[in-house]
Amino acid sequence: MSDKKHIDRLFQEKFKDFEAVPNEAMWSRIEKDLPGKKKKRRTVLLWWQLGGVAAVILLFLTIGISVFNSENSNNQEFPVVNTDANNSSTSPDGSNTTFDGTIKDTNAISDSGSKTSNQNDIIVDSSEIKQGINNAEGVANKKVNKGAVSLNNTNSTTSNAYSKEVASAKVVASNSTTEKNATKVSEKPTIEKDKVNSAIKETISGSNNALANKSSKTKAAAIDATNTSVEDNKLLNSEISVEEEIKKQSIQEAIAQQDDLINEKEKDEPSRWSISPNVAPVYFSSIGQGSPINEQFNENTKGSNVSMSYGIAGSYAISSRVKLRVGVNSVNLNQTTADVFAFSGTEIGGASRMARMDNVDYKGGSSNYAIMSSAMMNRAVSPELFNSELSGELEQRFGFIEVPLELEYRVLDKKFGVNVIGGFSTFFLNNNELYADVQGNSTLIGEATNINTTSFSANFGLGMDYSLSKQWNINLEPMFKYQINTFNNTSSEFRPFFIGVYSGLSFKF
Amino acid sequence: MSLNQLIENCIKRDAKAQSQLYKQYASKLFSLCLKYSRNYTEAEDNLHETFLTVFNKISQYNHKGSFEGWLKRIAINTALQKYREHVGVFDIVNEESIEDVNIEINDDELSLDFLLGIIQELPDRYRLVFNLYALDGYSHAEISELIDISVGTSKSNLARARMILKTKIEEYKANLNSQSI
Repeated sequence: MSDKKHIDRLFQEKFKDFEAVPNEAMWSRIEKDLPGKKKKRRTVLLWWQLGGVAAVILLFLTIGISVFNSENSNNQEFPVVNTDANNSSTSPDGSNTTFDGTIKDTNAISDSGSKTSNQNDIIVDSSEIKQGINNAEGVANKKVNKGAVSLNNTNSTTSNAYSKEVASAKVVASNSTTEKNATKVSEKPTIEKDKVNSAIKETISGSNNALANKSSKTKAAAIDATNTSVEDNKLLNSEISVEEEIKKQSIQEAIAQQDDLINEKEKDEPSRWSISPNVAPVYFSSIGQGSPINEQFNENTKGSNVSMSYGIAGSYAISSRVKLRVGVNSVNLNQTTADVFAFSGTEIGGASRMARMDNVDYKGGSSNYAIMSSAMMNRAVSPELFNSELSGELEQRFGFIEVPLELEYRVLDKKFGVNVIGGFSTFFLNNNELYADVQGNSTLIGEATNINTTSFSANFGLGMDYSLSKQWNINLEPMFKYQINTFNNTSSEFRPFFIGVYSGLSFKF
Repeated sequence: MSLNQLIENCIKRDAKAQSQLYKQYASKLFSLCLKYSRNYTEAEDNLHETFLTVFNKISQYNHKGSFEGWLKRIAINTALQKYREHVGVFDIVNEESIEDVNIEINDDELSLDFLLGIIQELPDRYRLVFNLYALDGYSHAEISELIDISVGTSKSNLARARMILKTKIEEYKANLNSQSI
């Protein structure tokens, strides 16, 4: 028989080590009632979501606007920029097109002169000229049409050799008018460019006179004899070719001038390339309450320790505001699932088969480990053993090599700059471990089988930088990376993301 | 994370720290709540309130004395608070002093669940006094202040609580025996 004991002592002894694990749902209820906490978390999350959406919209808008603007500016900015690279670059283009026209044309004339049969060629060519001029400078339409009309007229009266010659002469004349018109048109946007224009004008008007003269000559020659007309045409060709050379020279001069201007401008432009090593604390979490390990952990509290990401990125400035950047980062993430019972030992083997999880590849292929959510047990009726047993945590660690490709748009361009960043990353899995943490001891139990070796993320962020010197900047970039295709076969809704605050130094060159 | 660090982070309302603190102490405090409450549900309510108080007042913890002790006092106070709210005018207890007899009992396999059950079945004030005095080491003087009764009442309540508990244990055993026969 046992000893008699004072009743107080009986209770004291019994209750000395009495601990009762409260129901799993308790913490979430308490957490909900804690002031400011849960709310804060939600607003932070909301902020990230909204911020991400805003960043994307802003990014597309700004890219769209900048592209749209750049198209317009090519045309509109010419008269404003004057004497600058853009301006002078088109004026030789313009004169080039008219110039090509005349070459073609005179060839056609000489052909018609020598063969006296290639009428169609002339017509085709002149219409080509018309088109070419139309395309280059729409303003000239009226006058060019006049030329075309005269060409059409010649077309209808091309029955005999004489009229052929007349036609070809007319063609030359009309060409000279179109040419004049064309040069006039090309003058329009480049009124300021006196030098280039006057040079071109002179040569062209010179050539016009020559052409006019030649055309009258050809007329006369055609009346006399076809042979002389051939000779004249040849002469005409040679004269024109001389003029062409003069033109060429003046154009080349103009081009050389603009090249100088462009060079000067380029010297003033900031360096386009930069390289920046960076480091970031990253925090892994998910939208939705699922678990990547097993559905029985869906309800368990999950958390993450802040881990680190390091890397280097190179960027190229597409324009003064838009930068394209690529990089390589090493990023380690982890997630802890709380309130998990972990058992080990060979005797577990059989029993654990029940609790085995498809997404876990147990270490060494053995089944000496069993993990289960403590929520699976009803506290009120579970045996003492479990009540006294401390539930542990399941820690999943995974690491990637990340290759981000992002666009950066500069919103504020001062000494202190603000950028909106958007892009995507490709991830290559390089670390995958599953640990059971019970009472401070961490045991490697295996790895997850459902993490894809290659996955992606959509990235949004806000970049702030401060320029220390012309070449050095310091940056701080909070980034939100929404992971895509990271896990296979996840239970319930598990949409992982991570947040990192990237800081680094960038060097421009 | 050291305890002090944990407390610091809880003061900052760091969610992870709060969760960690809960995990670390929930079962200890819940056992306390179970003893001081009428039933499981009430114990849960008390635990809930206890932790809310803990996280709201954690900045007031002065690092003197054990942190666990501080937590336990909050849990006990929560239970007492509930008692004070519930105490009605007709909650008349016989205040006459009863001799503090030594009640001896056989310690056979009495399950903790059973013992917890009979504590919870005690009338509110008996349960509080018995818990405070017998299990948590409060003196009658302290108890009299805590629940606003006289030292004499505290003593008599304790004696009555013991009597009830003894009777229940004996009934239980008799029951067991009769069943086994």
